[in-house]
Amino acid sequence: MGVGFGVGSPVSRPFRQSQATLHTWSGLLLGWVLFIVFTTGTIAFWREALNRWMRPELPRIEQPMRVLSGAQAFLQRTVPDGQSWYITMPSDRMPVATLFWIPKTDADAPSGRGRRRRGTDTQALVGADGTAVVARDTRGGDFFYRFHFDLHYMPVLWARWIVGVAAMMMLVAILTGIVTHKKIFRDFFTLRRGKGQRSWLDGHNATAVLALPFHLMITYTGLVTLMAMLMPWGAVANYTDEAKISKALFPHVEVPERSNRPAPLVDLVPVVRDAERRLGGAAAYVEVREPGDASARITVTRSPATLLNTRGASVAYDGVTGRPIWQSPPPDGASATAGVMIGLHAGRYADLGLRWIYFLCGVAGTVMVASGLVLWTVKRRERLPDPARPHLGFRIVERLNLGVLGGFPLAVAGFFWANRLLPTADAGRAEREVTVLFVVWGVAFVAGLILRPRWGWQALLGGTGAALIALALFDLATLRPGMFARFLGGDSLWVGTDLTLAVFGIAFLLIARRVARHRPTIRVRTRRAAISMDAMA
Amino acid sequence: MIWLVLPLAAVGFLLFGLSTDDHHLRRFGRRCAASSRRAMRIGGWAAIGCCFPLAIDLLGWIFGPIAWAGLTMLGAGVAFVMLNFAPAGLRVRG
Repeated sequence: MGVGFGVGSPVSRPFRQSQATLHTWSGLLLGWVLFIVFTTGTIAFWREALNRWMRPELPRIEQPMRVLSGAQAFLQRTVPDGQSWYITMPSDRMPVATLFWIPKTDADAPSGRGRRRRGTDTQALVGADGTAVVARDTRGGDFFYRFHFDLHYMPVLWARWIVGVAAMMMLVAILTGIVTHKKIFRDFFTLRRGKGQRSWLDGHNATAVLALPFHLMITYTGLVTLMAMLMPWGAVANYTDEAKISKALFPHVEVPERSNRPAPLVDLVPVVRDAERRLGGAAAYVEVREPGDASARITVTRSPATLLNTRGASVAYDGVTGRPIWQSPPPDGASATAGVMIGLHAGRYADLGLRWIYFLCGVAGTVMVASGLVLWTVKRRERLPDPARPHLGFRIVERLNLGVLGGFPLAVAGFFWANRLLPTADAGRAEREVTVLFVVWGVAFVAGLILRPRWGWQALLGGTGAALIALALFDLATLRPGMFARFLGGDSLWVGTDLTLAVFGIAFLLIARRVARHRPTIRVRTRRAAISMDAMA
Repeated sequence: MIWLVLPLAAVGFLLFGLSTDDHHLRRFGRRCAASSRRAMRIGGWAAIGCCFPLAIDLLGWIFGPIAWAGLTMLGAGVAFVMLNFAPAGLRVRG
């Protein structure tokens, strides 16, 4: 039964054995990075929702154009002669419109690059009523989105290489996993519960096979998002000039030199309305170059919320007359392919239902990675010469599992709690929330090293469950207007998010209880069982 | 409307699952006869086969295949949970 070698298997035995070995080690070596990447990526499907959820004091935007005109008024007051303004168009998914500008005096600074350098003095938030708002400083769901590929506390380029290599190993692990898992169709619906290693294997297989199209898609397209970094040779061979690549991939209007003849900027609202008609969908970004000058240019880019291709088309206007002067050419095959793959990966086009499917598949992927890592120890524990004194490699994997699989979810719960509890007026609060996440994680990691694994798992899983449930109750008690009042007002975000957190909390508690009740059985292994277990080694 | 694909896929995968010996024994109390296994598999393929054209018809060629893939996976997940987590006493007589 299970994953044994079949008689007369069409795939030769040494080949499958080699694939099984490759599966084990490609999955294990960067498995903990993969777990973090999967967890944060899965949470990041709710990036916009969390951006709102983590700023509960802001009402939902009902009239985007009112916000836009408020944003223009604010920018005209604050930086009338800036070099450029960037306005992220508000939508009902977002709590605010984010404004960002480059002042004229700072003309030599690289534009839009380096989020760490971006000070509070060059950005502002405009709320539903069109005025600048002061909300609690938080990175919200954007934190998970960034952490998913940039990690934290390290140069972005290093992080992307680590994540890129981890993704390649993931792809290897998926493909070798398919080869190794011989009875992929016969075992499709099999879940033997309460059977120790067998159950772990069935769970690992089920989460892998049921969402296999998603896992393949998300890993492959994830690599595509990093392709220019991982495999630069195609671009290097065909383009000698970096500006030309940029122009081919991201066509944009040429902006003339600043004329230094003042001219008032046209009202942005009718311009954006016109652009939305021409582009055939909602606008996402509005960029204004040289506002207040006769050479002003306005570029409006279409939102990827209704498009599969994330590289949305854009249209440019003369900033003084408001006449359209340029439209981006239709994307060529290669650019469209990359854009569509990135679109599939990020799921920005997904409506609520499809977003849930993305999220559930992401959860399945996270459980797949976690169960694979646990399986490594479960499988080897029975074979240890002396279970009381496992060898060093075993102990390292066991403790890393505890510190990452148990510790990171607790750290995420800590991040959410920090968002609710840190004083809202503090400056530098956003970074402090992130610090809380890493402090909680560090403490959990150390606890995982000190406690006996059995107690460690109970403490971390139980703690995560309790923290998530308490968070939902805290929101129930403190949100004003309350989450049900908001729900009746047509905004289901609060009820939805807190209920989801509570459900995850209950799941964590159930797993913790399961660990508490688990009585390891010492079994005498038969030779046949040993061989069939080796198939998944 | 596109959600119609979900029950269709779930029914298809349920039929596949119930045509296996383990699940058949659990839900029907006896081993699966060759004839009913064949009927269930044909029914399963028919249901799964209808999903794709239905999804394309409802959403077109760009978002149709995506919704089809997503809902088929979800349908398989629903069938998996029903087969493995429905109370053991839940049986079909006949």
